[in-house]
Amino acid sequence: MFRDAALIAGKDLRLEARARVALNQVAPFALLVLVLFAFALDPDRGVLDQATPGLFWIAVLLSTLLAVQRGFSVEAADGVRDSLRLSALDPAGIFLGKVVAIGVQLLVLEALLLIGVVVLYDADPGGIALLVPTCLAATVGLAAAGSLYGVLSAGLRVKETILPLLLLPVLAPVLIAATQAFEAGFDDRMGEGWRWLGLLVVFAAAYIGLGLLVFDTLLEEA
Amino acid sequence: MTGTTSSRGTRVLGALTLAGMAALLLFALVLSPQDEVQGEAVRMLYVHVPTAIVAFTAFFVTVAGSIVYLWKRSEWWDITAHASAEIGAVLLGATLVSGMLWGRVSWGVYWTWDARLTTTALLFVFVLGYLAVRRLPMERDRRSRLAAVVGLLLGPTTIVCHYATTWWRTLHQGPTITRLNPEIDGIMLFTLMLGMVVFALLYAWLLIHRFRVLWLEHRVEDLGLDAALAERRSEAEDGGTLVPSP
Amino acid sequence: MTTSFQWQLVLLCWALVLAAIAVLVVRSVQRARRLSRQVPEEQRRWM
Repeated sequence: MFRDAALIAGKDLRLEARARVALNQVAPFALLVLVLFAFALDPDRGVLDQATPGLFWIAVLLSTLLAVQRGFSVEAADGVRDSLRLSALDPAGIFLGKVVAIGVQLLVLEALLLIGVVVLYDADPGGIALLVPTCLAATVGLAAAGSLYGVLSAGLRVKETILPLLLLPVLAPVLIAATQAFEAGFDDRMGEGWRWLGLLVVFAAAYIGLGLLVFDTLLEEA
Repeated sequence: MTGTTSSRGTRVLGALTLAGMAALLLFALVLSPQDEVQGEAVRMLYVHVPTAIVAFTAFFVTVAGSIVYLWKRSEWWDITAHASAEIGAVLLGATLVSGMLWGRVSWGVYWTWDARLTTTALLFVFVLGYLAVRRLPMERDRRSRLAAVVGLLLGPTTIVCHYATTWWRTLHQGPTITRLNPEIDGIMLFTLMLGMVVFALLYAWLLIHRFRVLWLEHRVEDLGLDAALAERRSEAEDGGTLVPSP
Repeated sequence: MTTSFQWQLVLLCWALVLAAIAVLVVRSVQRARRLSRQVPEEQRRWM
């Protein structure tokens, strides 16, 4: 299973390394979201300061949608999904591979965004010890839920519209918990942040577990 | 009777539901007293709490139906899951509306970003997504399996969304709203219980009818498919060249 | 908060909820009638 996961993750990341869609299109999009928020909200930092954690995670959430869509549309062409299905690869392994590939891209993106909020929003990443594990746990949750819904909607004619409708409500708990943890991290109130981190870990574990269970059904249907 | 989805059982159930609803209206709006704290607004309690509880039950039926469908592939459970989600959505909508109006009385605003409200709204959107999946234009078996997976995911979403805020309650900022006076009056308690029973009956009644409507829909889909196949076959026969003669 | 205002909201609340249920019932009846016409009798003999 883990060997298969490594194969799939390697394939997707190699694809990304060559095509650079996430780096050249999704990452600028995420930064654009940050800049647009700054335009829309109070430019002299009053509101922006308070809203920074939320805006950071909204940007991540929107980028997750794009990354997931991209991660499954690369397989739409040339019957790649059929080959995947017919290959002897373990569906659970394929799922884990997808999660890893999307997760790695998201982590890079989050690193860029973190620099973005520090530079653009003047955020103070004081509680870095909390921010890093929060990013990790949230990313696993986002990638796991994203992969599940990504493959679910991959074969559909209305995939562009149904994916956000299905995925965003599911990801909302991540948004809430990660935002709270970031708020705690930026304000150096670590104790509270750890408990939100716990919620993120539970969420990630739940969706990884579910994905391992149902991914073969979904792959059949995609 | 032709052209309906009713049978003797549902007519009895329906009559009971209607009678119960009339009794509930009588108790909720006339016989029960006003609350010391909430005033007249407490009369919304008798619709708010039962619809919420029945809606959640309905979603768990959907989750159970989805699991059984994925396991046994039975049409019966597939339709049950679908029907239950439809009714759950209506009842959860009723919960939200009554909650908002109640909020207008007790907090002065229709909506606050209280954790419970937010997660309930999210759950509502999620169920709308589930129902959207059920309406996707595609082959029925595929759609049912997709919907069953989404329905299965409704389980953790319900739990994460709804109970996470309770488990992590200490983190939840702002006032915690105690909706119910603990020293609840006898007749008020009775009315609340009556509400639960009536809305549970309503759920069962509607569930059976929605089940039958969806069942008919499946049959019509099958007929359409058969008709299309027959048409193709007759076309081929008219052409004469495609079908090898015996 | 005046009592009459509270009553207005209470009645509005009940009216909306009952109306929503009524809409569901009416639409189900209409749908059942339309679909029944297309489905043969023996496939809709309810218990």
